[in-house]
Amino acid sequence: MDDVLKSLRTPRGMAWLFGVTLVLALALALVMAHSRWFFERYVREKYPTPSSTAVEMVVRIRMGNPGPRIEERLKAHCADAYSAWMTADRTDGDEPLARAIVASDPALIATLLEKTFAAGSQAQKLRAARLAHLGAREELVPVLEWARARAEATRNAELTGAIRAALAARAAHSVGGG
Amino acid sequence: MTSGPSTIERKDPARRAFSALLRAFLLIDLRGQHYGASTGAGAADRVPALFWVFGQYLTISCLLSAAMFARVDVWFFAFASLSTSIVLVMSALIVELDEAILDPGDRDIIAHRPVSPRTYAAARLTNLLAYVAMMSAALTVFPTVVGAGLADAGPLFAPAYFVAAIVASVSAAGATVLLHTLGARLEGLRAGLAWVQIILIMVIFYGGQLMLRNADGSFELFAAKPPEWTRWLPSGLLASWVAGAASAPAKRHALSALASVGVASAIAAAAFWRLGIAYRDLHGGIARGAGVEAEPARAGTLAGRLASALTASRAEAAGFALAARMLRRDTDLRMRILPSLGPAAAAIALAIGTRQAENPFHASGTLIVLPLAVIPLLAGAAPSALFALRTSRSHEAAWLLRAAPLANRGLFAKGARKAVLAYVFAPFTVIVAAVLAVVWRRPLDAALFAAAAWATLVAAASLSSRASLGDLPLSSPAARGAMSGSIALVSSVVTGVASAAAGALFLASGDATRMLAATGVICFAGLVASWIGARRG
Repeated sequence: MDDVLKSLRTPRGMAWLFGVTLVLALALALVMAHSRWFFERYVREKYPTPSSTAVEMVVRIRMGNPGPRIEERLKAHCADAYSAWMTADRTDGDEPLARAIVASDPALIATLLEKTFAAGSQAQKLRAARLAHLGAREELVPVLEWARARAEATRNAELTGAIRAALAARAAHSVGGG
Repeated sequence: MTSGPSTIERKDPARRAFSALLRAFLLIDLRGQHYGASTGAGAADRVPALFWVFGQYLTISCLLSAAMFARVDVWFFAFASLSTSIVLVMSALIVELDEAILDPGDRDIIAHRPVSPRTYAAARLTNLLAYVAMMSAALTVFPTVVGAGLADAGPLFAPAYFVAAIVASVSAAGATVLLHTLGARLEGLRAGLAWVQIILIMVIFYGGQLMLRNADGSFELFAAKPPEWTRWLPSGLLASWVAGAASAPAKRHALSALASVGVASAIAAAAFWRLGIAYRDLHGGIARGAGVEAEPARAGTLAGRLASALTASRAEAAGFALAARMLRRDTDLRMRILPSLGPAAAAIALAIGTRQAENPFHASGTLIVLPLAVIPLLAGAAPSALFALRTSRSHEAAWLLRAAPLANRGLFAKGARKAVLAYVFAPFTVIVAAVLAVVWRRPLDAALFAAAAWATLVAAASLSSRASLGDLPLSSPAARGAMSGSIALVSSVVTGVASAAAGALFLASGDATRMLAATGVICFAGLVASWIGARRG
């Protein structure tokens, strides 16, 4: 042991010390590279708790009782409604809700979708794609094209499919005069 | 059996000199104590201080890779990793291992020996490349391997990134040598370069923290859609090449690789050429920084009008004048002081760059945190800057100060402290105020905010002066790594206490009247604290 410690004072010993450290670092790097699933568990977007007004409006839309000028009223609570959509644990009434949210402020929704596609988990991205699918607005197309390119680059077949479906729905909506 | 001449004896004199010089340089690097203070490793320790620095670089690249893994795409991953490598390689060469490039002290040891400038330059550059290779290995291993595990990384990511990292490191080292050798004639360039790298390091540091902590995905979005100009940075261009080669390799990528290697080789060759010239100058006795021309004496007051206006006694004025002159003359002193402003500058840059620079007089919430953070960060910089003022390139002349008939050395130190505040912190605070005035479009709010920051800063400087500056400025030699030693604790305490001022403004934010009252209270508290500090000092 003493010989090993003494050898650390020589250039060869120091080279050995640096080399062993580098090999250990390489081993750790290999473990990290093969543990992407572990890192992906911590990638998710956090949403603020939606206001009670927004929650109430969302519930009423889901129940098919939105009331007059819902899109106009929802516009002031659009970000909250998006949070409510993203954190919802139910899917009944998704279609009218998605249409109302997207129609209330398409530009803001496009911005929020962009953030989710960049920072969200797989489930959140799929939920965002569903919103775009059901909302089917022209303003969302650039974001969807961008998100599709990213999904294709990362070989994320499920997300690519969901975004393609959203784009196709928008195209069909256009042809249908929407 | 007779023993023949040894390998080294058989070599021609130039090669022999090269081998001996290189071995000596490598041993000095490996057993050197430049990092002794910052790593806690002593000269007698078996594990050299440099090893711990190697470990620090591995840790930085490991953490950076872990922070970005599964969050960003290949381009941004390569861009951030290469940028970090470039900044750290340049930082190490400029700030910590200055002597590895060209040590004026070498003249005393080897000038009388038959070592040609070319041989010296070759040995120095090889030594430098060995050092850079060591640092690069520590900075490259994690991004190369971890990056290959990214979802959008192809099989060629690892080799492509490895080549890009070598090109980046060699170019950065070569560019540093070029700048350093030019720095003999362009002294100010070195200080400016230190500024840039420190700000970049801080932006990366705070950016990494925010990326992990922020709740709304702003940084992931920034990484997904970075500003266009980042793609034209050297690391951005290399990252584009890595991303292209990793996703869809084509013939043009091989040509780009060859061109990059060619550029790196050209920079290294130019560095070699400049190093030879610099050594020839050194050899000829034109040692850089060895002689300082005396400035002609000015008639009138010792220190000029500013000193007269800001000081209350002759001892204070003398301290002010000496510190002001050394700040102008001593590049090393400036390079030790200016980085202390880095965190505050980084906070402002990050706030503006990430659109989190709201006006606390009219807004509240998380978007005002970074501008408010300037207050404690600036206050925390005061002890570090004053601590740096203890040192000087001309510290051996401090016997003059010790022998001077100063009735109260505290007043002399007070004058020196005022010089740092006047020449370093005041311009910075004015710049911060001007930038915020433009961003907020409310000059009065920016001026009030700057007043609160200035009051906190002056109080911090006054209260920490005894612990940080002592009573005899400019009297110690610079110990490499010492800036991260004991003074770090004082700075942390000051930053913590000054955070109360930022906290008060945060609580008052969103209402102009409350903010005005809070600013007034902070300014008053700052004045009281400064007065207490002055009485203690």
